[in-house]
Amino acid sequence: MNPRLGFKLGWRAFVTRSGVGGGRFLWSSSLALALGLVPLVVVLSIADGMIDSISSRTIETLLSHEQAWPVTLNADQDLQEKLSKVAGFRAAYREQSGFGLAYSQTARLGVTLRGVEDRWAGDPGVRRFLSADSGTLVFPDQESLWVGREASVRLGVKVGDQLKVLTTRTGGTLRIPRVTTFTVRAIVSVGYQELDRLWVFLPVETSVRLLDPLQNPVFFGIKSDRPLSETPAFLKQVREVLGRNWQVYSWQTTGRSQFLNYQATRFLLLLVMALIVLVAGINIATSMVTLVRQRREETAILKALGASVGLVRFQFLVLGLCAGLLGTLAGIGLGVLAAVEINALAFALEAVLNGFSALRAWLMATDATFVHLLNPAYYLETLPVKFDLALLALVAAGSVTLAVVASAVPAFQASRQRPIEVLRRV
Amino acid sequence: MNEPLLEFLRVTKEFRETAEPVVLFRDLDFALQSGHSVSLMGESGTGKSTFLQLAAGLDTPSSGAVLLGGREISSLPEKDLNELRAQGVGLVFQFHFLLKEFSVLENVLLPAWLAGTPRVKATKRALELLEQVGLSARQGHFPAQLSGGEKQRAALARALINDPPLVLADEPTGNLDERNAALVQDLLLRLVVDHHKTLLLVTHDKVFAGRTDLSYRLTAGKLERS
Repeated sequence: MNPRLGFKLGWRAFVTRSGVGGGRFLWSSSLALALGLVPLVVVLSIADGMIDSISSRTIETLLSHEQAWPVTLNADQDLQEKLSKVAGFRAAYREQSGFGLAYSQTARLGVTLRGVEDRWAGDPGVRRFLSADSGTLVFPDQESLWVGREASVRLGVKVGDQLKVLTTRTGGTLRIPRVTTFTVRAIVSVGYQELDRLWVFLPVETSVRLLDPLQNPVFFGIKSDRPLSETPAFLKQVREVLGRNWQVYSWQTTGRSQFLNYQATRFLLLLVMALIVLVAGINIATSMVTLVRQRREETAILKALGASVGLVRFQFLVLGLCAGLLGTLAGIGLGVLAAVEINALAFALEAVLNGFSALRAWLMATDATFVHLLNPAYYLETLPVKFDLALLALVAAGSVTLAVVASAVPAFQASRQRPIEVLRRV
Repeated sequence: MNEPLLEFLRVTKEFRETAEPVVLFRDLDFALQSGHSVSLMGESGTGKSTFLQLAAGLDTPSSGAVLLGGREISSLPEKDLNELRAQGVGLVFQFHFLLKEFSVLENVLLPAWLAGTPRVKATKRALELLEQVGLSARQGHFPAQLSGGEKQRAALARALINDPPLVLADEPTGNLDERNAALVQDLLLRLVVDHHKTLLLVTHDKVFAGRTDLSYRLTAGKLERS
């Protein structure tokens, strides 16, 4: 078999525009494949972007790259010095986390109390994601608080307001409540309302006095400049230098359920989108069956002129390959374009929908209902996009392979065709 | 006498698709000497085209043997049959059967590509043949841009590209007007002589048949000299 001739025959058939048997008949299948790939690429890149964005925020502002929990008293005496020997170590901050009930003059809210060092807000990773809507990220005294944006809205407080916090500590067999009055020094946000809704920051020196040391022990949040992919290596080195006096966990453990949840959601989205692509693949197979039937005469001519079974089969596989390549390139190209412009597209769609809503309200003389597609109450305020090039390449390869596989049975049928059966009928 | 180029030995062809089997011919013997041109006439449905298709290895006899160059082709494996079709015979059909997505030159070259002939050599021969059939100026055109006569002339050139010893023509002028039919007839017979080919021609045209060395009539499953 001459593969070059097979490519030539398949390619020419694919680009021919003329009537019955013209390969452009397959272009609609390519379009269907492309339309199946566009949402896959968009959803995948947004899911990756969101996971990456939320993960980075969560790691830098909540979990830290690693958490070191002391096993013995005074275990933290030389922690900073030991960690400074580990490649990629950025900083370690004393932290404490617990729950409390915050109440202002107008509202009450269960909050997560984050006891942090003053210098924690100056960490490059924290500065990258945590910003003050108002006020400054310093604790001028021990009764200072930074309140998450959404929590401040719910509590109805602003910078300079007083906020009371109810905490409990264990005293023997009793739980002893304690109310402390704080001054709000900053309203903070990480741009992710799941976090902004609940948290309140206070000096770790204060949290140590308020929170139960047994239920809410002080730990060290360790920050790293190494890529997240190097987490296991970093963890190993940290454990080695800190020794047995510390229990060290990486963000992969402390945020395990959260990250597993993200990955499961991503996988399910990918699966649903892959089903659309699979349907497009079946569409290619159906179109190929029709095309093989339409090109019976051309196949008969080729076989009458001496074309081998393999060449005829290869020609139709090339046709499927061309359809797959066209659909894949168009689908991934359009998908990447749509993903890059997803925020503009969402705003444009929002404007159009709201325009229709306003028009309908005007015509019906009723109140308009406006939609807010990128509602920060549910998502990040803008949709982040991240392209996993390796995965995109895998999707592209899978899509093209699907098209070729979908063409295999029709190609086999074409190759078994006896020219005499067609020539006799002409 | 030399060994015949094409030989039918007690060939029977019947179709069993219907309840009553249709026997086209039974125990038919035929021999075609190299360098001769032979025409085959007969009424429609008598099996002329089937006879030709058996000679081309496109169909197989129900019994008996078809020999080409002394080699039995009726039981050849697919691979050898492909080789035979590509190089052993040149086929011209009633319909031109040119591939619409290829230019005239490429259509002529197609059997050479299938046979694996070196590109330069094949192109040189294709251009010579196109000149001989008067289509040099049309080599870049596509079949849809040619007249019926031109398409058939291109099909003639295609049949000769691999220099096959035997040319099989199935009513090559049956679909053409009088002027173009005469042109294609002249061309076919001249090319066969010029290129020293053996011709087996199926036609309804008595005048055309009369221009071949020998003429046969297929009637009721029997071959008769006419």
